[in-house]
Amino acid sequence: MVSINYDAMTYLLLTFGGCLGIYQIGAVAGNFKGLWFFRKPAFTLIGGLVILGITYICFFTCADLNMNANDAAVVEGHEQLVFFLFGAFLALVLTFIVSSLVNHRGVAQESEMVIGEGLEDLKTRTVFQAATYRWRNRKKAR
Amino acid sequence: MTPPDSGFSEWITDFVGECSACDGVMALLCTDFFVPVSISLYMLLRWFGTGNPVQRVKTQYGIMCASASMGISCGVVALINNFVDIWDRPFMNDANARHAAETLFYLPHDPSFPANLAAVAFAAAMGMCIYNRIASIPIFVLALLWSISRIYAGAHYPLDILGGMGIGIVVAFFTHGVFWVLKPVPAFFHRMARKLYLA
Repeated sequence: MVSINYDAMTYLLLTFGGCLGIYQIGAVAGNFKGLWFFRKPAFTLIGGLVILGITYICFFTCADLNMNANDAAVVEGHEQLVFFLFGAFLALVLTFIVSSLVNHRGVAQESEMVIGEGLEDLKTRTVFQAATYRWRNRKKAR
Repeated sequence: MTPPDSGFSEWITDFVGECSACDGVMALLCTDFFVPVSISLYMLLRWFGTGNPVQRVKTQYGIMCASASMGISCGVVALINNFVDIWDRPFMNDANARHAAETLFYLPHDPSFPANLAAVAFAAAMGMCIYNRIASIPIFVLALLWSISRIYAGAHYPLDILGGMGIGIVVAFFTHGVFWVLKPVPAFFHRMARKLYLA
């Protein structure tokens, strides 16, 4: 029988929501247009702040969620690390998928594009577009 | 045995119950989640949120150093706790501190000295500070608030916090030294992250 640790799941949701909001705020701050959920920076920034704010308010003011109720160490230190990394990973995957769908028509002119610089590529392309471009040009890169 | 600064702990925990707003803020700050999650999210924001590529790489190395320092300092404190348990927690020795801990926190069973939270938080702050001083300021502020809230909640003596802080800072410099000696290792991880559009 599979047992679910609800405190750990709550913590995972907290980190997932927090990371999702932070990725949007960071994408606006770093001008990574390929990661934006909206085509306008103001909407993306507000969206990120709303996600982050709602997550914090829900988890740290609702006693039922146990994130603010100090009756025991509900998620141990090493578990916190694992769940944070997992939550951050899930939020990143969702960010990559949603931003690639929203910006599938591209975010910059061909002449402005930077390729092969990792995160820098996402200033002008979505993750999907950058990965596809790299795959198609893998022989040239060698 | 009680530490020489136990009087300070008795004095500060006496304020618990005087101001419900202060207690609310301290109860939030001293949880096991609020400050560590906030520090981690802030570091994530700095990782992705720097537009200048040169500055970004520097900050990302700082975050790698901070993260490694957090892990190592946690291990060092666990190691020390296996051999040393100098004094009990404040709430074991004083009625005020016990009331504070029951009101704002819970009653942990692990040794009081050194404070794990201070070691971890100050390791993160100093690890970041070595590479990017301005970016480390919010982490230092959060680390300080977390430490003060735990003293206020009767969970630690100030000396526990100072001990943890010392461990965290030393570990951060040690980690920076390891990064400097083993340059190809963090460079490899950074290169891999770049291939995955993460750096």
